[in-house]
Amino acid sequence: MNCKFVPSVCSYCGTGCGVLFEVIDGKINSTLPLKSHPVNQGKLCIKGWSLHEYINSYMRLKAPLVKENGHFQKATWDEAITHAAKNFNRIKETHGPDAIGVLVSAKVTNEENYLAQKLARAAIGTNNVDHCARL
Amino acid sequence: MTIKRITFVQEMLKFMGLEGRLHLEWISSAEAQKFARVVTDFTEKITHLGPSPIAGQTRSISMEPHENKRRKHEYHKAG
Amino acid sequence: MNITKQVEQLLKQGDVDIFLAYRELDGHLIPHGYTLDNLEDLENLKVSQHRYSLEKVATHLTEKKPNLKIGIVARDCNQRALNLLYTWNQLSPENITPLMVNCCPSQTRNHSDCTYLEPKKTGTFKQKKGIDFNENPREFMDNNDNGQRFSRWMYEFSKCIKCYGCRNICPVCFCTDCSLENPDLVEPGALPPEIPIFHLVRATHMAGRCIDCGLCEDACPAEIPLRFLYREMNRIVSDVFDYTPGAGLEKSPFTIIGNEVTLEPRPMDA
Ligand code: SF4
Ligand code: SF4
Ligand code: SF4
Ligand code: SF4
Repeated sequence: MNCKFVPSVCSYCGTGCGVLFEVIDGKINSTLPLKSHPVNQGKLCIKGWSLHEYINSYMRLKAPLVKENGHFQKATWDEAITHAAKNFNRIKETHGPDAIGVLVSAKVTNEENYLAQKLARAAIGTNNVDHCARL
Repeated sequence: MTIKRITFVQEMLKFMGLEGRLHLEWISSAEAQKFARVVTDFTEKITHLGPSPIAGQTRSISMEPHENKRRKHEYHKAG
Repeated sequence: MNITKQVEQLLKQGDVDIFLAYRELDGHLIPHGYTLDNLEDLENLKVSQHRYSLEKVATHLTEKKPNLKIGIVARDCNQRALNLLYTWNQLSPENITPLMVNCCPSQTRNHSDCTYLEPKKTGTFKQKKGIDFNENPREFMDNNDNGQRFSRWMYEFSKCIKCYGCRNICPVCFCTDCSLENPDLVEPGALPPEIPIFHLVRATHMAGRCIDCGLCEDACPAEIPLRFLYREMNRIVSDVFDYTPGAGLEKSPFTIIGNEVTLEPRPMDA
């Protein structure tokens, strides 16, 4: 039996509360607030408290899916990324870069958000970038 | 045991500011007069106290921010 | 013998299969389960200033493996919680080895959240906010009439964001089916929750159960003086039932039929 605690950051909203996962035998069993975290000081909202539920949910996507003929098909990452890139290029060529918008999220890190806007502005060539925590 | 539990709830309601709305009395089936007296007295008392402040409006109390401000103000003014 | 040596010995002698204490990670003191497989971690063993409900972790572990022998660093409040969990058959004393450490205030914790010790130092933030949360229930009763007490509690309860943090963090809230999630008692999806029912349901459950560790109040984002409420509940329990939760291995008076009663029904004053 092994039990450890892993500090992390809540992935639900832009507040970024510190959480602590209780991991028993490699499986996240419950979520606790990280008491020493400067942001939330040992408090969480209901979403933070329930983080372990979605991590362990059977409904989570574990592989990329590509829609073909109206049905989702399991694909490898390479196939999925090639497929997406090909179609973005097609849209950009036929309708111009402003036909594409990029939505990023509070659920990913600052760095990833930065990279997403870089992709939008430099690679695709549009200013259509937005974020759910742009309050 | 009943009396202890009821005493507990009475004390809890008192702490919450809902004093006097719970009463316990032992009345046997032979004591019709006592029954009538107790029920009449308690009805009178309850009528005198007026409707419970939480009856039927638990939601609306909590949903109105100005209502909360008033409560806070009331409390601090008095305290 | 220092605590690290003691833990090492307990593990090596097979007295415990896992020992719950704290370690330092990235500047945070967090709980950790020490076992024979990670003996090298022992050099980071700490006794934390921050309190987590290690006994709750123990109940989680016991759920997965009922006969697991668990060691715990315990302060007074942890010990009280363990006693209570024994009496409610959530843990069994044969499987638990508490190692007592200094209670607050102490070298491990220079200010105290524990009401028994240094009430005035508690919750600077709360005091700054103008409400002294560690007030004396007797003064509160004397200085406020019925209506004021009601206003005060309704104001406090209406701040609730229904995070269930008070229940989740509480070492003695272990029910698989929690009344607070029962749609007949507490309307689902309503925010703030139905007051004062939500809080009074929990307050009633904490009567004869709450061991006054204060974790709930620490975890409450709305700064509701939960501990004050539950402490008063247990003041009543100790007056009426002569029972202090967690003080010993006596069963809660709410689970048994009592014997002799000396109370008289109260007169009805108009
Ligand atoms: S716990 Fe709640 S407030 Fe904190 S980051 Fe997560 S969703 Fe946001
Ligand atoms: S003080 Fe709060 S967290 Fe601690 S036992 Fe009582 S109700 Fe539970
Ligand atoms: S609030 Fe009551 S029902 Fe819910 S876990 Fe705690 S004691 Fe059990
Ligand atoms: S911790 Fe506070 S805000 Fe959260 S449910 Fe409990 S009383 Fe409400």
